[in-house]
Amino acid sequence: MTKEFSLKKKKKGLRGSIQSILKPSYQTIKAVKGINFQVKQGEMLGFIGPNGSGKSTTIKMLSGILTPSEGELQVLGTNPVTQRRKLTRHIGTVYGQKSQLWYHIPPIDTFYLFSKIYEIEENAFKKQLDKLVELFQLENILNVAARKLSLGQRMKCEIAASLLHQPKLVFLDEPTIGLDIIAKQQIREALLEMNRSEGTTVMLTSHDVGDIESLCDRVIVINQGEMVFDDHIDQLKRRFIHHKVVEIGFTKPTVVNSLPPDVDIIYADQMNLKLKVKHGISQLMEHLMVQYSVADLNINEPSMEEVIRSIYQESSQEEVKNA
Amino acid sequence: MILKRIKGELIFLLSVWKLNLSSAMEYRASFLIQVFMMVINNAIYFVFWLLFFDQFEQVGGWALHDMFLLFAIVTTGFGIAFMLFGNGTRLSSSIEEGQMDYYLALPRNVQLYALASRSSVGAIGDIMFGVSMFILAGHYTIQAILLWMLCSLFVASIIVSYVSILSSTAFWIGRASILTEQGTNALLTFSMYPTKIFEGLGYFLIFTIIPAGFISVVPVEIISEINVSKLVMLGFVTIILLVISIIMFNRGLRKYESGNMLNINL
Repeated sequence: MTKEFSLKKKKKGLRGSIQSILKPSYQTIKAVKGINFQVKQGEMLGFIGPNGSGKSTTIKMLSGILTPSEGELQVLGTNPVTQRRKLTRHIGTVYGQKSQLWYHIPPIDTFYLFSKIYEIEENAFKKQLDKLVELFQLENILNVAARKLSLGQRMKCEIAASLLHQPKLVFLDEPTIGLDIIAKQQIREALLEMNRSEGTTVMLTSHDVGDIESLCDRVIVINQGEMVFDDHIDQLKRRFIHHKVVEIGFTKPTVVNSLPPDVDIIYADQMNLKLKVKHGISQLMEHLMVQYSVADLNINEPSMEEVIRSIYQESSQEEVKNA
Repeated sequence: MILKRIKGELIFLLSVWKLNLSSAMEYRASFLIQVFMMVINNAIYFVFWLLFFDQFEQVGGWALHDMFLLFAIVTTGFGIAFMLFGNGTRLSSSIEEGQMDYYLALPRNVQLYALASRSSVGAIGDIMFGVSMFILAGHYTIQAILLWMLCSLFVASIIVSYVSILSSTAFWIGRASILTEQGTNALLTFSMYPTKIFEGLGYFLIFTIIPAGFISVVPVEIISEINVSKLVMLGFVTIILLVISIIMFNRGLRKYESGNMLNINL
C-alpha cells in the first residue's frame, strides 16, 4: 500500500504568503511507498523506524483512519476503508500521544463508556475489567480523575481501555513514550500475558529498544516510507551490524599508540579500552597481547540499541545525500 | 435491523451525554456560574426588547408576546443543540488539526460521536431561560406546549446540521473555524429579531444560506397559529439539512488527513 499527501509549498515571508494565495503550488509527498506484509494471528510484531518514516501513517491506514492512495489491504478479513465500523469492533488502538481517557473524570467512567461504545455484554465486561485491573494493577487509580494520574498510570489505563472488548488485534503506537522503567515493565508483562492468554495479535511501534526486544518476535523496519527489513529480531543484528565491540582491561596504566586498521576507539582511559572492530578480531587480539599487558578481554555483539541507532543514522545520511 | 441500530446509537449517546454532564459537574462552582451567567446574558439581551416595546407597540406586525415566544424557541433550540452536541463549535478545528483519529478508531458513527462528545454547560442556562420565556409567552394549551417542544427539537436539529455543514467545509478548504463561528453567530443574530423586518435580500438570506427564518418566524407562527402544514414544512426542511450535513461530512471524511497533535478528551 501507498499513501500520498499533498503539501502546499510556500516561500518564506509575507511575499511568499501572498504568492501562495494568488498562485498556490503543491508538492506530493509519498509517506508510505508500496509496503507489503502479512501478520499471523497471535504474532507480536515490532514496527520500527526513525521519526517521519511512515510508521504511524501505516498503522492509521490499517486501522481505517486513513485511506491509502494506492494498494489493497485486508485486516481481520475486512477492508478498513469500506468496513471501518466492522473492523474497529475487533481491534484496539493506543496512541501514546493521544488520550482516549476523559480528562476530568475517573478512568472507570471512560471504561463504562467504552462498554457502551463496543456494546459489551455486562457480565463479559465486568469479567474483562477485573482481569485488566489485576493485570495492570489499576485498583487504586480506577476512581481517580484522569487529570490527576501520572503518565505511567494514565498509559496503563489507556491500554486497558483498548483491551476491554477483547480485540483480536491491537495497534500500539509508542505506548511507553516517556514512562519510567517500572511502568514500562508492567505494560510489557501485561501485553505478553494478553498475548499468551487470549492470543491477541500485537503490532507495536516504539523507539524503545527494550519494548521491541522483550515483546516482539518479528520486526519490520520502515525507512522513508519503504520497508527495509522484515524478519526475526535476531536477524536484525546480522543484517545491519558488521562489527563487534571489544573491551580490554590492562594490568597497569597504559597509553595505546597503535591499533590495526578497521579498529575504532569507542572509549579509552589508562586502565580500560573499548573498541569497535569491523574485521580481524584475531589480528587485533594478537596485537594487544604482544604490545600491552592485558588483564581482561571481552568480545561482545553490539546492543540492539546500537543496531537501531545505526539504521537510523544510515537513513538520515541518505536523506542528507538525497537532499 | 435499522431499529436495533437506532436503539444502539441512542443507548450510546445517552452514555456520552451522562459522561459529559459528569465531566462538567466535576467543577461545581464553574458549572453553576456558567449556567447562571447564560441565564443573565439572555435576560439582559431581552431587556432591550422590553424597553423597545415599551416605546413601540409593534414592529413588523410583532408584539411583545411574539418576542417571548421567539426567545422561548430560539434559546431552547440553541440550548438543546449545544447541550447535546456541544462539540459542534469545535468540530472544524478538530478536522483542521487532524484530531478525528479518536472517533475513527471506534465502531461508532463518527459525525454523531464527534458532535456529541462535549456538552456546553451554558446551554443548560439557555434551556432554563427558554422554558421561562415560554411560560411568560402565555400559550397554555396542550397543543401549544407540544408544538413548542417539537419545534424546539426541529430548531436544535437545524442548528446542529448547519454547524456541521459549516464545519465540514474544513475537509476541503483546510480551515473553517472562523467561517463556522461567523456562520453560527449570524444564525443566532438573525433569529433573534422579528423576522418580518427583513425584506428583499435579507429575507432571501434567512431562508437559504443562513436559515434563521426556519428557527424563528416559522416556529413562532406554528405555535401561535397552531399551523400543522407549516410544522410539516419545518420537519421537511430539518430533514433536508440533516441529510446535507451527513452527506457533506461523510464525503469530507474521505479527504481527511490525520495529524500528530496531542489531544485529550475534556
